Amino acid sequence: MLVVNVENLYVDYGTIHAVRGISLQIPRGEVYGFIGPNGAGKSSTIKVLATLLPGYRGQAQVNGIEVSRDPQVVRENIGYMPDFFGVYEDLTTREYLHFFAATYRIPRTRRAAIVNDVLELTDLTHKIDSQVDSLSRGMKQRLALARVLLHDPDLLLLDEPASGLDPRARIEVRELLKELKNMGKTILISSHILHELAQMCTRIGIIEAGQMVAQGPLDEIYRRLQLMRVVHVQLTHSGEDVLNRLRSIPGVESVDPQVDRIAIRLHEDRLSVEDLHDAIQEAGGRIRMYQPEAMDMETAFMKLTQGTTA
Amino acid sequence: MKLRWPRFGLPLLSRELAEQSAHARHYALRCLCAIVIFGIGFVAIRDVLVSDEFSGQMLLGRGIVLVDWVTSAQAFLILLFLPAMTCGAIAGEKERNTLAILLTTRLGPLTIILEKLASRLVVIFMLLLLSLPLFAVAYSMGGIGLPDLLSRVTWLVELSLFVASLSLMCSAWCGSTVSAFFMSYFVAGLLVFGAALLAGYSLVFHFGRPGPVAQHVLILGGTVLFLAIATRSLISRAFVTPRNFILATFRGLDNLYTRMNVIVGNVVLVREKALLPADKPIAWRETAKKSLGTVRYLVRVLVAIELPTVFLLVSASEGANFELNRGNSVGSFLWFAIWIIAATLIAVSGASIVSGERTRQTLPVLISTPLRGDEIVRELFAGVRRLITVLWIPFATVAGYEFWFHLGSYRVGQATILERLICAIAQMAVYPFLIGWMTFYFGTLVRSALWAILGSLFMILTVILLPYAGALAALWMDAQVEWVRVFAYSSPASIVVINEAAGAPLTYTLINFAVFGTLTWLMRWHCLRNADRLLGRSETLYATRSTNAPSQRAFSLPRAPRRHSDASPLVGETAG
Repeated sequence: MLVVNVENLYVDYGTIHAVRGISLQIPRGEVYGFIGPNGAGKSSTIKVLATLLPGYRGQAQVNGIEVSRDPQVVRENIGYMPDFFGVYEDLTTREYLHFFAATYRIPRTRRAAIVNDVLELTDLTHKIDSQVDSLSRGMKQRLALARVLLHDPDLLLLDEPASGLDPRARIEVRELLKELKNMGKTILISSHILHELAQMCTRIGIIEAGQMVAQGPLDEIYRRLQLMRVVHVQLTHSGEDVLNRLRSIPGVESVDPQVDRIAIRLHEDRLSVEDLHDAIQEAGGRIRMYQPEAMDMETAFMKLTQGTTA
Repeated sequence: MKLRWPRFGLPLLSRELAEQSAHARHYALRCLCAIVIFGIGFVAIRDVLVSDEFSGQMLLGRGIVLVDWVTSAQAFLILLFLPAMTCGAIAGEKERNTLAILLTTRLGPLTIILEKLASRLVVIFMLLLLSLPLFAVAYSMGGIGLPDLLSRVTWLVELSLFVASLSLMCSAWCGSTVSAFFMSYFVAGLLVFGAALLAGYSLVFHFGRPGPVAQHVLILGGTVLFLAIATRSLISRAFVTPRNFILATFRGLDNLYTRMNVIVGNVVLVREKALLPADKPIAWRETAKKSLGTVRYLVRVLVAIELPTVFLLVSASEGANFELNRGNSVGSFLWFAIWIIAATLIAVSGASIVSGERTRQTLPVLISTPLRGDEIVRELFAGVRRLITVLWIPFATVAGYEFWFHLGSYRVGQATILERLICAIAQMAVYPFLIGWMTFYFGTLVRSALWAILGSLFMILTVILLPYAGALAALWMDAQVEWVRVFAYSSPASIVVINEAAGAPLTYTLINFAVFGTLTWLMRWHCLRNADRLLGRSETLYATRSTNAPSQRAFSLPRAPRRHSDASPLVGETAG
């Protein structure tokens, strides 16, 4: 069962086309990482699903309900955490959570127990009577996560939950998100901190200039991107004759001599990294250093995007 | 060594002018000012122009009248708009966290202040230039010499300098634009009031009126003083935390009352309970958690207004052996004063409900909850409703006093005392809610709290002044006097003033309240019906939205090249 189904989504702000035909599907229990440079259209997509963006075109469904058709029902099924933490400066943590529990129409008899539960989960029980604006930024983010869990929604929409946090707070939020993942929550999370997403996301979508550049399971993306892996090689002698012999190896796309090394791009489906090593030696090259480029999410991100915005 | 010409750049002034020219409101303002100035110029010589025996000779010598009217209108526009235009000059930089960057450049504090001042003066001088053709016409009509004309222009320039530097000082002093805005008008009001007081009493009796030179020295001296304070405050108050002055005032009152309460043995009339929200969370927050919504603070507001009201009424009744005029005028004075305070409080409160939520960035989270839009609006308005209820008490005190004061005399002017009381009650019942809903509506349309408050005050002024424009138009078209009266009585201000001065006629009163009551109901209905759209929810356009296909407009626009999406084999993957 798909919790999120977005098909051909378009969002315009006047003459700016923020989202241009994005499609994504998130099954129940999946953690979907939404990655993209600033202004790529991540927040706009999340806002559409959070019923906060009028005038979009295309299909945006939560639990099979079109966001524009029945937004009230959609709101009951989502927990939205924006990329900023708006503070009601006059409320304590307890009042803040009771306030939102009331907005979600949780019965009064159950509110205290639920508030205690979410505070325990987010490790904020000791701050229950503190003023919200006196909390640290990391605590505020955890409080915001506590808020979105109050009504036990099917889908959590988390827009940059770790942005602006110090390393400790970031780790705390990351651990909390892992906990939510283990609880079986469906999560759509956008972030710039790519290696953190890599640790918890079952699938990622890379978006740039309002268009989906790539999406799928992380391993799949890595595997596909490795089709054009770069291997950095240092040879004792890298004259033009050696370079020409390397260029003629089947499966080698290009050979790019650099200051202290040669960058070889190869089609890994036709020539493995190990076979390239042997082929270089057969071509007369004496290898001093042999370093296949490590593939991680940041590399994938840099490979797939060019830093343009909508 | 190669010599270079020194380059005099005015980077801040250039940036400010470029920014200002990007806003449509400046052009709208110029058009509005041109309409006002030329309209007033026309009214000044209208009697001659529309005369059946009009001839060019009749205009001879009328230049002085035209110049006086136009100069007064310009002075009014300067006092009205210049503080609003200037109060954000420095405070806005503080709010955007750009002042620190500005201070680290090679621009000195005085340069920054002067360039900011110049940027505002350029705009206001453009407005003054609008009247140049009228001055030319006035000069050709005669009745005014070149020295007189120049002295009036000089006075307008000096007034602009004075007001702009005063607002700039407030802007450099305050942490937020809203605070700077209110401080500008408050200090200007104090100066005008103080100057009038001094001119009326001490100075006139002891030294005589200041001469023209002394006036110039006073104005320019004040300008220099304000600029000096602004320059000094620019750095010393660059990182000042924004303060809510209304809140600070009432906190001060709170402390005072607490200290005074110790003397009478710590009497507690209303004990605030630390209750959690029940079924109306937003209304709970507006009335139980917001500073000006709580019972405790509202009792302070009430005491601050009610005590002086009762004191003045009692002293007016007792002190002058029941002198009719004195009792009457004190009641009327209090009625007007309470109206001004009430209208301002309700307008600020109503306008800042949604814009405040936007400023605090709490609105998106609030509207992503399953509460219906109209529920949210109703609950948000609960604080304003409570404020209005509290303000009814001083209103009722004055209205009741005036009714009691005139008991025994059947009529007061054009109305019976009962009609007068009904009119007063209707004012209390209709106008506060009109102001509340109007300002609430405007607050949903704009992002900044300052513009919400400014726009709301402008809307109130429009509602008050528009009927007078209609009355003037009726006069000009030589319509029947009855029509002129209908228009004039259509203004809420007319009803408030005339009912106090001479008792408003019942027919006009009923028409007025029927119109404004309906308008209030319509505003409320509009706000509730379109609550989702006004709050920024996605309900707005779904009736016209296609569900699957991109719109025709999307197809017609040139599409950016799909660098990766088409080429990449990764797009369109689903969980595998």
